[in-house]
Amino acid sequence: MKSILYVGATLMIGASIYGFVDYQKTSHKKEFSNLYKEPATTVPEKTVVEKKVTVAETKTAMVTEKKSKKKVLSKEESIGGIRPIAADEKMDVSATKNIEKAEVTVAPSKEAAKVVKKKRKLSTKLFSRGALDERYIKEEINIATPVEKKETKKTENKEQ
Amino acid sequence: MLTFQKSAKVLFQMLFWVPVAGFSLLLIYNTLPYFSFSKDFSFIEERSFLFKSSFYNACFYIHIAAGALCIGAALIQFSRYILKKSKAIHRFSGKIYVAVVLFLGAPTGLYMSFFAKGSFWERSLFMFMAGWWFITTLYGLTTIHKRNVLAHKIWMMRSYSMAMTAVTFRVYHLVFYLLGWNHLENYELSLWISVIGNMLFAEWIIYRQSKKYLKSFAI
Repeated sequence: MKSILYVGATLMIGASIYGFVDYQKTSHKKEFSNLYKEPATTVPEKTVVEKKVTVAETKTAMVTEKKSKKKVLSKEESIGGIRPIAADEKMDVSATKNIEKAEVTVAPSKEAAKVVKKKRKLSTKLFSRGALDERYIKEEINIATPVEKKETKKTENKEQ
Repeated sequence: MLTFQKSAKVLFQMLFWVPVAGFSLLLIYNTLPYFSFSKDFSFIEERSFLFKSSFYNACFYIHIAAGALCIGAALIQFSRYILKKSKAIHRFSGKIYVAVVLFLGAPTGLYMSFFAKGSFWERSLFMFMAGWWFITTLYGLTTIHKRNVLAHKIWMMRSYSMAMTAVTFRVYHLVFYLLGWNHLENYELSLWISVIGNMLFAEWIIYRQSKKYLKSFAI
């Protein structure tokens, strides 16, 4: 029992003395003083580069538009394909309007379709005394397309 | 009424021991890759200068092996079932725990505490932890040699609370990280909370159990 105590106590005293001496030796070193310093994040300064743009004078040739000559058609030539409508065929304007609802699917644009959902997936390796490393965090990006909007558009069908 | 109280007690014990066992096993699981002796770990990369020293290197590997061993051994020490079934298992794993703490875990921890992350106070805290872990374990051993079971229980609870700072630190560290805290602040606060929190928790359990013990003397 006493031997356990003596061995343990010797180890503890030895560790504290050696640790203190070792610490005194290394604490003066620059590498040790900078050991746990987090690297400062530097934002790169924006440099504005002025560019003088010299525009060379160029002689542009004057292009005169040639007006195409309009061909004047005679009355018979222009409405040759149209024949007069008979009285039966005429549309009844006073007839009631019947509105039908028709479903029209509107496909969203590609930009609008992307709903980005970031999901953090933590690794068990993060359960550590060390600095929590970003490499152990997976960011799952789920691109979910929203449900297509269904718009109703009124179309008018006139009863004849 | 009694059955309800008993079931509530079992539930509370489960709520305590399931996370404790789970996180302890996770810590052991995460320690194993270090024995590939690769330097590709954030803990080692951060202390690359210290790891140039072969003595520090040796202390580190001894310390993590000792930590994993004593956390693993301690898991079965508080089981009443094992203690009733076979005292030999309790004695054997207890001897492993005590030997590992007194000869390996605490001395290497004390040496490494001089180079620990944080300010003077965090280093002092690590030194205190190593010292307190050693003293409580030693008292736990001496009391059982004197056949004082109650005192043995109390000192071993205190010792285990120190061993478990490794686990609780990681839990707080991760929680504060998810809350978006700065790394160094997170590290220091997690360290203080884990040490003081574990000590207070152990004292609270000891107080609760001593109340029951004192009641047993009441006429």
